[in-house]
Amino acid sequence: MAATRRLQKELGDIRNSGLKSFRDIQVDESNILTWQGLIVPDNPPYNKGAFKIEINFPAEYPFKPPKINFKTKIYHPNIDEKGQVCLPIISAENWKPATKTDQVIQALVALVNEPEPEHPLRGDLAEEYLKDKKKFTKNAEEYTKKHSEKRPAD
Amino acid sequence: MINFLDPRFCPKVNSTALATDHYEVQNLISLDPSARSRGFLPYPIVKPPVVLDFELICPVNIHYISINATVGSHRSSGIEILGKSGSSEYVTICRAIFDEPGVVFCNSRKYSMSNQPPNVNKRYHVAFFKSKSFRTFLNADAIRVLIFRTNTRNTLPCLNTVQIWGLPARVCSLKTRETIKKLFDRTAPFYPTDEVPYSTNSSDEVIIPEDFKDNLTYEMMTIPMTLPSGKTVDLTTLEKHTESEISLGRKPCDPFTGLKFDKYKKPVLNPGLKTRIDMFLLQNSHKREFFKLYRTVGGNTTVSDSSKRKYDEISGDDDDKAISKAKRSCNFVSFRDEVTVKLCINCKHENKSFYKLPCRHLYCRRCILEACRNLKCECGKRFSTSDVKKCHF
Repeated sequence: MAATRRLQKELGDIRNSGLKSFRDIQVDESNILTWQGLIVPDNPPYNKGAFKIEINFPAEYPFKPPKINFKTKIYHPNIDEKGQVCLPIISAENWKPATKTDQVIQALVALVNEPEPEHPLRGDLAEEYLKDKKKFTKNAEEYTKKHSEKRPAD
Repeated sequence: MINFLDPRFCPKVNSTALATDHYEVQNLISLDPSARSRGFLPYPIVKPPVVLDFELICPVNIHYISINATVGSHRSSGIEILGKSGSSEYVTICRAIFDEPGVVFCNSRKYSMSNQPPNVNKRYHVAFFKSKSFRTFLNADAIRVLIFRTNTRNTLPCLNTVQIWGLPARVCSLKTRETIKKLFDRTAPFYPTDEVPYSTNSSDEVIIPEDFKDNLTYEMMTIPMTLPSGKTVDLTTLEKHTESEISLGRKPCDPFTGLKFDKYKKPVLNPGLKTRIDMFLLQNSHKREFFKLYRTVGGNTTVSDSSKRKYDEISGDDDDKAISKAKRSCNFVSFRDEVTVKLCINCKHENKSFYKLPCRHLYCRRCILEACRNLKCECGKRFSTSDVKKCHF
């Protein structure tokens, strides 16, 4: 498989880089095409928790983009109830084979920290975010406390 | 200790037995490893005994003789070793009948059943030299291998490898010994003993130099193409990327920058790197890791040509130019637009299929039947029925 060697290298690079906002990367020995990890945002209201994500690489990687799914429920205008994310960098038409997974993750973390209500997946949350930011922040904080994973100690 | 049948010592081998093609007796001492691995197989009608005479470079004190007696399904099962010292006759050194795939004959003063010679397959039958013949095996100029038995009636008296290990005999001058040492040191020794399977070496980890790796997939490259962005990827990677771009309805572009290729900015073969990669692959060709790589040398068409042509064509923006270019190429089959009307010479009717005479006149079917009665064309020339050719327009 063409993807194997590239993914091995990227995984090694990410693990060595010590990325603070993406941790606990777990990869099944038998299937390097599926990664799981923990997103640790810095900005409120999401800085009270951590969010588990799954990255699925197609067999044609790096010629086809990976897919990202949130395994933890999150109150976010750009992430829907099923955990699907709308991330331009990994859309089929914008994808470049030279894009590295750590760039994708950084883009994802940036999106989680700074929601983009202009291109929402959940219209109701985007409206709330634009019209009543205080209420949104309060709701999101409560939701995060209720559903999110524990943040790593350090 | 030295194998005196090593091709570097230019031994000579002779046999009166006819050999099967490509299994000549010379294979036993050939420099070519593939020939050497084939061994000697006589012509199918040959029956034992078969005699092979080996002439050595100098008198040799023989320590042991190792023989692999199996070629494919054929196996010799009875071998006698004779030696010659100086001008004397051949004297029997030892003889063995065995069921194993090979046999090793050794000097009983140096080796025993518990202390077997090195580099020898443990499954081989072990036999010892007759101590009475010491005058011969301590000072042998020539060795005769006599195959007197095969394991079944239908198999041939064959030999896969013969190795005569020993040291130059005491009678040799210092100069001879030095020459032999020099010959031996000239190149690294190569003794494929079947005890060490080929694959064990290939499990060794190979370190691929970083610049031989594709910048996108990190796989070993075979056809390195340098992109306008300065990165180098394999041609297969580039083709896959182009394919996925085309599936999205886009023109081929640089996978790093996304800039479209054109007349000046296009991927080019990196011949220097390719040469180095080929060299590296050649040196590591036995490593299993590289078995799946494509072969890119030895073909009729060179890669650079085909890829260059491809990207030239793609980069032609002007469609008319591309069409005219395609028209000029030899692959282009043109269909003429203008219809030339063909008429039968007799009835002057249009038709699609005609019968042609040697005088190049055309007839329709009805008229040719009439013309065939007197075998004469309208123009007056005669013809025979066998000259009539059918043709279509």
